[in-house]
Parts: sequence; structure tokens; C-alpha cells
Amino acid sequence: MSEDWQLTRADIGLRCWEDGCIAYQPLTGETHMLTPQAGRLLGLLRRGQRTTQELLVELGEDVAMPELAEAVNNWLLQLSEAHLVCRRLS
Amino acid sequence: MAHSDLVVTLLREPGNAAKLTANEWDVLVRQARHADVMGQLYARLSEAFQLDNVPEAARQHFETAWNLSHRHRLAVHWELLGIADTLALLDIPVVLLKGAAYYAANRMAAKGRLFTDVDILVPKSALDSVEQVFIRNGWVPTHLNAYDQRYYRKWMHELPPMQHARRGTLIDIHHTLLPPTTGVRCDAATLIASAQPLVGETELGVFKVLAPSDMVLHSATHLFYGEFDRALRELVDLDQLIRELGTEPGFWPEIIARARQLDLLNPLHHAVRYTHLLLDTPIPTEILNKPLDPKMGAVRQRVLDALFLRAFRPNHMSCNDTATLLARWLSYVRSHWLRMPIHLLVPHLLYKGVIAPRKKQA
Amino acid sequence: MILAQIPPSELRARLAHGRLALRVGPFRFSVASPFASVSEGMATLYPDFELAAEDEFIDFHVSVAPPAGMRRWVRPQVNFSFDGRVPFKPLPASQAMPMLEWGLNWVITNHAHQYLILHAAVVERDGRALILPAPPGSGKSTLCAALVNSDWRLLSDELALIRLTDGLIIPISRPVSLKNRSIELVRALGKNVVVGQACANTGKGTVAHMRPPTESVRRMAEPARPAWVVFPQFIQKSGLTCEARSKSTALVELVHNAFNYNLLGLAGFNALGDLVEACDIHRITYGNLEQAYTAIDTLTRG
Repeated sequence: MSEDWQLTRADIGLRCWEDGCIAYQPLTGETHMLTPQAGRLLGLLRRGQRTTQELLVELGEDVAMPELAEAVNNWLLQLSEAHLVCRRLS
Repeated sequence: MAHSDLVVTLLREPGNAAKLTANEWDVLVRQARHADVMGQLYARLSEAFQLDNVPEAARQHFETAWNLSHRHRLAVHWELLGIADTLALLDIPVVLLKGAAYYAANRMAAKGRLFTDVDILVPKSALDSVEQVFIRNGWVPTHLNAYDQRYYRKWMHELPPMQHARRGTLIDIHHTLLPPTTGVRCDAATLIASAQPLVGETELGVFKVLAPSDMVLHSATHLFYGEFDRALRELVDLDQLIRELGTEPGFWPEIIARARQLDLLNPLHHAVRYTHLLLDTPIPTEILNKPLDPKMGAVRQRVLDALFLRAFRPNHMSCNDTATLLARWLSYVRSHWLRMPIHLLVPHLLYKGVIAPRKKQA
Repeated sequence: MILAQIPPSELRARLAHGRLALRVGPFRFSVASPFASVSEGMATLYPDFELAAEDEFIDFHVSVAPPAGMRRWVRPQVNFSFDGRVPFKPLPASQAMPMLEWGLNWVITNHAHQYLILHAAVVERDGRALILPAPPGSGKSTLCAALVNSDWRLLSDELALIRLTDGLIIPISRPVSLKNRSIELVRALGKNVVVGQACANTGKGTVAHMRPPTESVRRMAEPARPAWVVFPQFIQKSGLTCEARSKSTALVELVHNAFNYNLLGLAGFNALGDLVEACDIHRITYGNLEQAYTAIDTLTRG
């Protein structure tokens, strides 16, 4: 099942380095540490909304993981809980 | 120009910016900071295209306050979302009051403002369930000593403030505008019934705000029947509300009728008089010419003028001549007199002034 | 005109009447105090600071004075007040000068939000700044004192001001605050080192301040671009270790070391992100000053 995902706000802050990423949510005022992959996912959403399928494809290009789909779902869940991303309501 | 008049002078006429000396800017910033109107002043100066007339060093302070107010807006929004979640479980009307209401309803009065607590008005019958649902969702009652609990619950018109255990936000839960002890019959149920939904807002849809007349009346009541430590800031709020809402057709007949109905002609009388006198708020001439409060004689008016016009000065050293201090103290006493039966008043003031600090040191 | 040019009696009088106004970094402060210890303290610790003119805009008016009422005579106390407000509980009158220093820190960290303010020492060499963030007790101040008494310029010992508009460090080269053992260590650094009167029995133990080097104060108007962040950790009798720090970890640690990060929102996040991106970041543990100095020297000569 493919869902639409987007950032909760256009001005989510994100800085990424090889060993980790940091995100900032201006509304909650919270700063979050993310793994490089979760950060990469957030970075993709910063460029525009994506479906879960699109995310899998784009991430799969350089993240070789056996259970990528499950990992992506986990990251989306964590990023949701941090109010960084949300499902797009159509 | 007299130092005490600097903040008010600039608020009513931002064009005066060009005339101030460096020393006057110095005093102005200190007064404005003390009165908590820095962000509002920035907004006024900016709208009047006067920012270039503000010396760089002073402008920096105003700009910082303005930027801070933006951060506050985000914080208030986030808080309101959390509170909305908590209250959604109950099926009761919840009316936002004061700063949070100005923000949620996008009123001019929210510009440049800093927000501290959130104030809500709920039906008295729902008070217990509201308190319970807050406690279940991470809010903790404050003012746990028996005296303060009684003060808030029995004599005032609110629960003791609740504080979010993790975020530290304070929420004041009111069930009426004025304590029943004042003898002023102000019908909260009417206010709640007339409350309006937020226009266009979906995330905060559980909240309502007071109808325009009621919003102005509440602001006036809070100012003139309240404690005077934020007097000028609240007068600025009132001025902004009246400027924005006063132009709606039918506003003035409606607010006068409403004030009569709610027995709030007295604070409305003061509101129109002092916003006009100090901040040049546009009030229809016929209203200024005839006192709204029928009990207001000429002598009484003069006495109150002497009291209030001084008490509105920023609470700052440059304004603290003896007469001002006395006036401020008298206003404070008067406001407490209005709200509590006199035989209860003195012990309360004594407790706050003398007993409480020593207790804290123990 | 600098403070040293005011005769002591006039300095005392100006302070008593609240007419001593100084340029301190990007700010102008006016100080009022009737205490002899404050007048002496200012003369010892701020001689090179430029005075502000009488008709200049003053950013912050502060005073350290006895509270009104009984405590004037019975166990004398001192209050710090800013613009007529008293933010702290009173302290014993003997602590008037440290209270002034703490009060100035408080005023800056609570009002100067055009800067991201880190709890860190910051020093400069060859136009580039080294930031030493550290919680209290990590040896930062002693290390800072040692660095600025060799070939480093003092930008600040406690509050690193990072200008939001361009990321530059803005100096406020105020006296270096020292505690307990570090007071003697710093006095021993050299003949030119001036340490003011020590105050015992404060909440932080015995405290004193080192006069900022004249050259640092003279160059207070020169900002510097940050190039290095070094997290120092003093562990008595240990050897020296030095390791590179991950940028993401460093950013989070700096969030914890920033006074006003919460108030700055996205601008604060971006300022920190830029800082971390631009700097080489390391962590050192050391057992004595020489080790630390050498390690820092090596790291920053690249």
C-alpha cells in the first residue's frame, strides 16, 4: 500500500553529515538526531511530497538493505512522532 | 518632552521618532522593556515607516523583541494544539481569552506581543471534568497551599493555574469574568453562548473566541478591575482591539447595549476614555461626550483621572515619583476592593506582601 | 578615554551616581554602585575599557547596591538590579563585584538575541576563532586564561556571541572568571597577569577574576570567523587524548551549551549548523595545562 507523505512544515531544518543528521521543527521547537538514512528520507521529502513507493525507489538507489520497506516504514513512524512528517490528506 | 510620556508619545504618534535624542531613546527602551511593549512599538514604527529614524543601537533592541514575538507565536500555536487534543475528549464549549484569543483569531492586538499563559473560559458545570482531563494529560495544579487554593477557587473566578509537567506552560481555567464576590452580575453563560468559532481555522477548531463586543469588554474589565502591573500593555491591547473592531458597522450601539446587559458600563467607560486620552484611539465623539457610566460625576471623574493617568505610566524608575507610586498602589487596592469584600481584602494583601516571601525562604 | 584615566575618587563618585558608562564589546553598559569593592574591582579589572559618552545610547543600565530596608545594616547585602528590576535574591555585600559580573552575564544572555550565545570560551589567533565549550568545572576558564596569556586574543571567557546575520564571533573581552584552585594557577602564569580580589564563600566556592589582556580589550571591535571547536575535559593526572568529533554529535552538544537556542528558533538552528559545518571539531582530555596548550597549538596550526 502506497501512501502520500510530506513535511509537516516547509521550514523544517535539516543538516546532514556522514555519520548522522540533525533536524529542527520550528513549531515544536525540538531538535532531533537522526540516522543518516532517516535523514536522507527527510531530505527527499524536503524536496517535495513523495509516496511510500517513490521513497523506496529513491532510497533503494544507494541504500542497500534487505528489508528496506520495513525500515522506511519505521523511519516514517519515527519522523511522524517527531512531528517532522505526516501523511498527506487528499 | 517629559520622560514619563515617552512610550505613550511614540505609541500614539510614531512620527515622533525623528525628534528623540539618544538619551530619550535610552529611556524609552527601558520604559518599553519594563512595560512589555517592545514588540508592539516595533510594529507601530514599522507600519509608520519610521524604523529608519530609530538609531541603530536602539533599533536592535526593538528588532530582537519583534523576532522573539514570532517565536512566541509558534510556541502558542503548539500549546493550543496540545490543549485542543486534551479538550477534544470533552464535548463542551471552550472559549479562548486574551493573548491566545488574539493570536488564534488573528487580531491586530497579537502583533509583536509576547504570550505567557493560556486563558480559557468554560461553563462552570464543566469545571471538574476539565480539571480532571488536564490532570490525566500531564498538567499539574499549582498554588497548592491552602490559602491560595481558597483564594482562587472561592473568591476569584478561576481554578488555580495548572502547569504542564513537561513543557512548563501555564493555563488559567476561568468559569466567569469577574468573581461572584464583586456583586457585579456578569453572566458567563451569555458570553459562552455568543462566542464565535475561529474563521477558516481547522487545527484549532475546538476553540471559540468571544464575540467582538465581548472581547473588548473582557479586555476592559481585565484592565480596570485587575491588578495594574501590566496596565500599559493591556491598554495597548485595548487600543488595538478597538481600532480593529470599532470600524465594524453597528459595533458601538452593540457594545453599549451589551455592557448594560452585563453590568460592565463602568469598565467600558474607563476604556473609551483612557484609550482615547492616552493613545488617541478613535472613539465616536458622541460616546466621549456623554459618560457611559451614569454614576460618573465630574468630581469622581477628576479623581479617577488623577489616579489612572498616572497609573498607566510604565512601571519604571524614570516614572516613579511619589505621586505615581501612590496612584499605582491605590489602583491596586481599588482593583482588589472591586473584586473582594473589603473585610477579606487586607488580610490577603498582607499575606502576599509580608507572609508569603518569608515562607518561601524557609 | 579609558577607565584607567579616571582618578579613583572620581570613579567612586561616578559609580555612586550611576554615571559610569562603558563600551563592553557591542554593548554599552552603565553601572551604578556605592560599594568601594566595586569601584576597586572596576579599576583592577576594566582599566582598558573605553568609556561611553554621556549622551550616548546605553543598552543596559545595571546596579549593585544594598537592598532598601533593614538588611542595610544587619548582615549587609547586595542586590543586582537591571532597569529597576531585581532578578536574583540578594547576596552578602562582600560579593558585590562577582555579583556584578554574574549580573552582566545574565543581562546579556537574556536580552542579546541578535546573537546565538554559547556557554563557551572563545579565543582568536591569525584572524580565526577557537571555541571551547564546556560545562562548569571542566577547566575551560583556566585553559582560556593560559591561552590568552600566550599568543591568543581573548574574545570571551564565558559567553561566545555568534552573530546571526553572518556567523562571526563578536568579542566581549570581559574579565576571566576563576574559581578555587584555578585562581592560584592563573596568578602563577606570569608577571603580567592581574587577578582581582578573591571572594570566599560564594555559591561557587572562592571566586576571582583575571584582568583581560590590554591587547584583547583594544581589539574588541574586531570580530573573528570561527574555525575550530575543541571540547576540553580536565581529568587530574591523566594523559592527553585528542580525537576528532562527529559534527552531528557536536551540534547536539552545542545545543545543550547554548543559552538562548530555544528563543531563536530556526535562526539558531541554522547558525549552529553553519558553525559546525565550518569548523574542525575535536575533543581533548588533559591532565595539565601544558598538554592542553600543546594539543591546541598543534590542532590550530594546520
